[in-house]
Amino acid sequence: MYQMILAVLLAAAPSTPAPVAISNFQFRPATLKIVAGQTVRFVNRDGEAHTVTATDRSFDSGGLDSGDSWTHRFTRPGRYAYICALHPFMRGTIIVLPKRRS
Amino acid sequence: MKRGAFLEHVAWTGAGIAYAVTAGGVFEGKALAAEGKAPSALDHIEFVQISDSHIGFHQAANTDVAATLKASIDAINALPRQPSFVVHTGDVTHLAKPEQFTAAKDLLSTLKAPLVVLPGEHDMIGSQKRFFDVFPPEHGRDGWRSWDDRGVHYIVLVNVFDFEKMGLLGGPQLAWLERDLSTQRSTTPLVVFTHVPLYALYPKWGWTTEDGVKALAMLQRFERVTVLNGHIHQVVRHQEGNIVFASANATAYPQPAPGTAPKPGPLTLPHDALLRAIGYRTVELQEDGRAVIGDSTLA
Repeated sequence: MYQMILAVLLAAAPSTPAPVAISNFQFRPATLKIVAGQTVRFVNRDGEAHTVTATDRSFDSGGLDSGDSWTHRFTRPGRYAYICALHPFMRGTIIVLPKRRS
Repeated sequence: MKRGAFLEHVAWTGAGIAYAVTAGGVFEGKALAAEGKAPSALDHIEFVQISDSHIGFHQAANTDVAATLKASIDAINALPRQPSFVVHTGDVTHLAKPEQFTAAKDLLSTLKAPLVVLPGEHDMIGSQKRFFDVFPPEHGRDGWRSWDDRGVHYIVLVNVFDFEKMGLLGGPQLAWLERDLSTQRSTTPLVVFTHVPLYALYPKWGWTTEDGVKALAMLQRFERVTVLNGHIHQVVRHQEGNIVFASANATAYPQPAPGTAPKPGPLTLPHDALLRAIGYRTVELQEDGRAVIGDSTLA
């Protein structure tokens, strides 16, 4: 019973999105660890447009103009490499950890 | 002529400069419209190049990119003789949004001369379909193509398809280029259009084509080759053997010269300086296939 309540609480918890800033042609932090189900908010703080594009194409923000933000919820554990499709030398990684370690 | 001197000269004449490549590979500038005499270069303009209009951009570097594209188009339409065509070497839009494509197409359709459009990486954001829906290539489905006009063999190469490695031509396009060139005589003048520079102009900022050397190797046997690109928003000239390269100004905003800033990106200048850094390019082809390139600004 207690476990069930905890599970429900965890699932329903409105977790604050983990931030990734895009500034000076860099993703900051370049590597971010989150837990499955968590949301990441990417904010473009540059004067130039950028994108957040997974190298395996599993997610793509589309064009983010200066000041634009984009959020994405990562549901599956894994290591997600992404780049800016306009400036492919900009690289970042989201490491999604499983919700519960067995 | 050094870039600084070039800009100064443009500012002084307020018209533009025509360049010819001498046998030694040195660029010689001559002011257009100097001494009230119509420059010979304007009598035989073969085609005009515009680039990097970034419709949808609305930052301080240019708060009205539609107006500067329109000013470029108006100047081209006012040329005493219309060119065979106008080529736009990519980044027509800033973020590849449908309304940006619509606005860009509406403006570009006011050109009197026929239009050839290449995609830039900004036009490929999210999907490659939108660009080709708006600007369908005349031949083939791949975007790269060639045609002959008045003794010149023109080639469009697309080096923005691979979003992870930019620029990149890729195996199929290189194989097509090899087949395309195999039917051409080495005396035929070639003019090649790309978006990203085909040579390693400044790889640190991505201003290079990873497999460009393979294309350049195929072009080496030709006596007159002119490669014109956009992407870097500034005039940069270069020569390797018989191959002359010239990057064009944008119609939207300039970017820093290689290595003069920590990163590339829009360069904000006072309005009069902005107008001296954007515009269009006229290209005259002499009988021997030599290209005379004239960069005109909106100042």
